[in-house]
Amino acid sequence: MSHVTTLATEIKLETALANGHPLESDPGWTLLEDAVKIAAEELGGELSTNIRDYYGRKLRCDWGIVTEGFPRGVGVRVSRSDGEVTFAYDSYGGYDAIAEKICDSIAQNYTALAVTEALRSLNYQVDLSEEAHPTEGRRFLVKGVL
Amino acid sequence: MSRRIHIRVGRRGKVKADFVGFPGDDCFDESESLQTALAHYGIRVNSQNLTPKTAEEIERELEAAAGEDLDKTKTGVSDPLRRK
Repeated sequence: MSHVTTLATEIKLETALANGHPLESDPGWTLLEDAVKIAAEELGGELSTNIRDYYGRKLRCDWGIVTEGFPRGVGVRVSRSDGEVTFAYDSYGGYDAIAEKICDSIAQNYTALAVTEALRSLNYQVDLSEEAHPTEGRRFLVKGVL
Repeated sequence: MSRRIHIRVGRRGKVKADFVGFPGDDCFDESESLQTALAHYGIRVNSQNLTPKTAEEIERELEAAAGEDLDKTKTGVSDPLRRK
């Protein structure tokens, strides 16, 4: 059965909300936008603010990636009430792997960017590089030197 | 010896950190600071698996650090996540 899957991530943009500011001013907001843009570029996809389900119905999201291999797309949504970041997609018809790959890429990019910024905030000099891993595929190595 | 943190970010943003050159329990304090800094960006990490290094591991690190000090030219900087 076709359905839109919503997956919780470990990312929750709470800093701005906790201080009574709009979510869009959260320090993670721009990072998340960058993470989605980079993932879209890596996967040869396009950015969108809508994704579609199996029946072609639109679903709004904060950012979305639509690729040739998965034209319905994967959406990223951030809860305005608690900052929880979720991925949404309809993988009906054998699109699970490609949808998960897009989600993985966004989450990995975001975490690498956040780790880089976190180390910089602690006054580390930071170097970010990419390394291959036999089972995980791509992995980022963030080196901080104090 | 300089203090270094090497953080590997794997699939789904899974994070593994390696603290190098922190004497005694300093790495635990730095780990807490890092967790706080990451929480600012909305990432919660669990450091329950933080384990002290063995004497052999520390010795290897010291040897590696000494080697790096002798070869300061190997400091190529790359940034695969170049932000626009």
